[in-house]
Amino acid sequence: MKIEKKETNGVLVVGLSGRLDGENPSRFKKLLHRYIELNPDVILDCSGLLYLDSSGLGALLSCLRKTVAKGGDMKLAGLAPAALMVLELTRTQKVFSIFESVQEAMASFDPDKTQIEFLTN
Amino acid sequence: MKALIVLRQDNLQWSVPLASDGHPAMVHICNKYLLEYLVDFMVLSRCESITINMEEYIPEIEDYFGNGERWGICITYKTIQKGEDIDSIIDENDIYSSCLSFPLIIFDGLFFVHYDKSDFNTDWTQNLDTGLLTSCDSGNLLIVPTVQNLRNISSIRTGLPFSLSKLENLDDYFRLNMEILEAEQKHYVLPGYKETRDIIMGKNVRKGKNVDIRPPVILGDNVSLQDNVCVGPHAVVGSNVILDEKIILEKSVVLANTYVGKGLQLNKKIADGNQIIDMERKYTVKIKDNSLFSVLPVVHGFSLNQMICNFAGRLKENIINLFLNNFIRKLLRIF
Repeated sequence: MKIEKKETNGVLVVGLSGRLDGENPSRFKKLLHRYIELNPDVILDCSGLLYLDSSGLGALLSCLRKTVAKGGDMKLAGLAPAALMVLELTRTQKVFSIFESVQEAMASFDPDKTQIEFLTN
Repeated sequence: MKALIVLRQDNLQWSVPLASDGHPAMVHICNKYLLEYLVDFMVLSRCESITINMEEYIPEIEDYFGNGERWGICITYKTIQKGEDIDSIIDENDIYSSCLSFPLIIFDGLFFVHYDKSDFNTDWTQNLDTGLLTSCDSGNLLIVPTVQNLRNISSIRTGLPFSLSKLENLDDYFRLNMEILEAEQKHYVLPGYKETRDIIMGKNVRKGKNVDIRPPVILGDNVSLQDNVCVGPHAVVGSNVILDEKIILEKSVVLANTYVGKGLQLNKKIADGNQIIDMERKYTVKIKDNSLFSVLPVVHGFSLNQMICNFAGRLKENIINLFLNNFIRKLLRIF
């Protein structure tokens, strides 16, 4: 699995590609927890995410908990139907904020907050 | 009366995703084989024999229906050429079996025949004077009263004690399951017994604590409903299915030998092992996570429950043998 990060308007955009299952989730969790320590406003760009299983879902929930504890939020963007179905079946669809694209997810962050963060950066 | 059922490969393509453990022709509608509804229909219509004509020999069909003794009807099997037209099928059946009796009913294609078992008190074929053709998008049903009408089938008559429903995609399949659940449960002989109104239970259904079953629901044999499961309304659960704790299942079909993991919610889905079909988004996904969905192992002829009992029985036998052997050895040492 490939993980790429960039920061736009004070929001951390993490691009995921490949599969979030099997051994990957623990590596993903560790890495993302480190990112969240620095910036708790996260958008996960899942447009390249091919597959998600229950362990991957556990890692996503753990990261969401971490962002909320840090006063931020984690939003999912561009989920493929397979990953979306896993969220729906496990009833976690309502727990996450899900958007069709990164742009939509970005717009949903408080503009004032992102503006201030952008200026301070 | 004789019936010819003509199964063509092209008509079966849609049901391939539902055939993880069998042939697409052996698709279940409300826990009963589609072909069995046709056989029942023919039995109710006082038919004496059925020939199932297949473009490719399907052993599963013969394994299940055998010679038709169970239904009190004679069933034979025949392979036909791909794309063979109905006239040549009739000719071949006539030449090789030389027993085309009339009236003759021909099912050409794959479709569902809606009927009500209580409407067959009189022989509806008796008063037919011309050949009839009733059609739907996925096939034709021809009724030929006498040999003279064989090449003269033109009229389409309404008011027959049955109607056809097309079966050419998963939407049709899902809709048909829901229709039977909702309004036609009493029309057919469905496997299981009626627990209360609109709830049909198979044999050996195990229910945990706080299980909520909301009609209409059909449960197959050896279904295990774990604690706090909510099934229905509008749910069809196949045989040997395990629904783990806190599952919510509504407007869905779970096919036989499927395990559904803890806490999942299925709405407008068809689950066949680890393959899930979303009927709303028209999307199929294979979930390779055994904690969510998996295929339960079934040895043909044995349910999971029977297998566990057999295993436990063998284990008990081995323990007793071991104990007896040790006891005899000790006795031998003493004497």
